[in-house]
This record gives sequence, C-alpha cells and structure tokens, in this order.
Amino acid sequence: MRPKPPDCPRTAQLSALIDDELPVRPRQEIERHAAACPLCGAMLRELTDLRVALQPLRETRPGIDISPLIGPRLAPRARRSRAQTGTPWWRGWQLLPPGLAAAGVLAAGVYLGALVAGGATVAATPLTTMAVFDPIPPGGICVGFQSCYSRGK
Amino acid sequence: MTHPELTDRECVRLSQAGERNAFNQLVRRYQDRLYRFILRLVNSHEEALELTQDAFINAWQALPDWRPDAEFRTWLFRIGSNAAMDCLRRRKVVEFVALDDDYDAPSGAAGPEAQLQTKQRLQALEAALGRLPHDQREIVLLRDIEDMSYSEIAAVLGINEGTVKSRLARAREALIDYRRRTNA
Repeated sequence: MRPKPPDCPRTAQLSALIDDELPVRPRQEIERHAAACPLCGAMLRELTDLRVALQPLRETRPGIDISPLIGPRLAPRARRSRAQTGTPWWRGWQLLPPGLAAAGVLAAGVYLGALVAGGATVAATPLTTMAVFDPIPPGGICVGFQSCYSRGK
Repeated sequence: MTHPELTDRECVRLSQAGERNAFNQLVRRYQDRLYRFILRLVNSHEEALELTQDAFINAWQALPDWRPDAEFRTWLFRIGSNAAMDCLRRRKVVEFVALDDDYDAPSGAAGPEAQLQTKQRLQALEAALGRLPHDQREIVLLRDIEDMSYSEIAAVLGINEGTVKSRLARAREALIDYRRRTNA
C-alpha cells in the first residue's frame, strides 16, 4: 500500500467514521476528503467491506441452552454468598463462650486475690485495734498483775 | 415464578433479590454472545462452554456488588474477558497462530459451489482473527460482532476510548492486509 499524503486522515479516523464515532464536524471533513482522495476512498471501502464480511460470524452459537447447566451450580454458591454477607443473629451466641469464660476466670481471680490479701487485713484489723485495750499488748509479757508472778506463795 | 420479557436492569434487580428465573432470563439473553466472544479468544468449544458457564456463575455471585450505574452487558463481558485471559495464562499461550502464512483462500467469483466458498471465506476470516494479537482481537469482536460502542468497549476492557479507537484501527488494518495477501 502506498503511504498516505500528509494531509490524509489517519486510518483511526476512517475506522471511527464507519463506526459513527466521530463528532459532526470532523466526520463531514473526512467524508469530503475521502470522496476526493482515491487512497482514503479505497481504504474506507475496505474498512466497510471488512465490517460486512465479519457479520456472519455472529451466527456462531454454543448449540445448547446452558441455563439448565448453570441452575444447579447457582444454588450452593448463592447460599454461600448470603452466608458470607454476615452472621445471623441466632448464631451470635457462638461468639459468647470464649469471652464469657475469659471474663469469668478474670473475675474469679480478682475475687480470690482480694479474699486472700484483703480478707486477712480485715480479720487482723479488729485484733490489732482491740489489743490496745488488753492488759497485755500483743506479743508482750504480762507485767501488770502480781498474781501472774507468784513469789514464794 | 416466570417473568415476562424484562429489561436487563429489572432482571438484575430481581436476581439480586435471589430470583433465579430472572437470572435465567439474562443467561438466555447473553449466552450465545458471551460464548462466541470467549470461543474466539480461547479457540476451543469445550473451554468456551465451560468458561461461559463460569462467567455467569461468577456474575450471579458478584451480583450483590453490581452497581446500577454500570451496564450489565459490559460488566458480563468484562467477566468473560477476564475468564478467557486467565484460561490462556493457564495454558501459557496468549498469542496463537491459527493458520499458515501461505494459506490461500479461494477467490470469491470462481468455483461451482458457492456455499463451500462462503464457508471457506468465513474460515479464512476466523483464521485472520486468530492471528491478531489478543488485545486487538478482543476489540474487533466487541465492535464488529457484538456491536458495542467505543464507550462500552472501553468499559469492558478497562481502557480509554482513545485506545479503543487506535487499537481497533490497527486491528482492522492488519485484517485488511491479511485479506489482501490471502485473497480471503
């Protein structure tokens, strides 16, 4: 094929012309040019011929209706698809046990810890306080009463 | 439940709600077109049939994410195009030659059996299509066989309209050149 003169439109423009994909003004210009230019006129005819020649290829068909083949394959995927969208409310309880157990163990630990440490304090405090009023201080030796120290009697 | 002839949009809306009959209507509407598009990309009837089914099933599963601003047809063809490309990648063959360079199609006028000649011409055209690079072949199929506009093709292939225009022109030039050389 001979090279086109520089003022000829590119093949992309001629191709877009047969597809009716050009704005009005460029389309009119290219149509005028192609009517006068033997090279572009021939190219335009070949592009049109090619498009016409390809039309019979639209007749190709699979030869079977594939919708009955697809039907059985749709259901399980559709159900899985719905399941993926979110967990139903009634399955929410399945999420509870691990959290509850952890919280329970933590609470029990805190309670028992408080019982051991805090409970001793609570039990000791009244003893210490009451010891002030005892005649013998805690851990001390009784020195107040003679009866405690019998001397030769 | 059967539906009278619905628009794509109506079928999609019903399919999103789980109406399989509405989806079947879409399948029947597009199965031939999607099959022949995929067939000419993968060049195998069995694989094209399987990929067409897979494309519809993928479409069904992805329907909840389908945006109403997109055309169902272009969306479906995009799924089909990706499926074909994946298949070719698995085969590790994206470019394949369907016909020898020295293939000579019979001339149109001579010959007693017109039907046979027509068939041979179509075979030659199929072969010429098969020789195109994958990206150019896709565009010719979408434009000249499926009659999509440049904007629809751009949506299917995820490219801009300028690229559609130039790539289509290159593909057509190559086909014309091939037809000249082989007299197809």
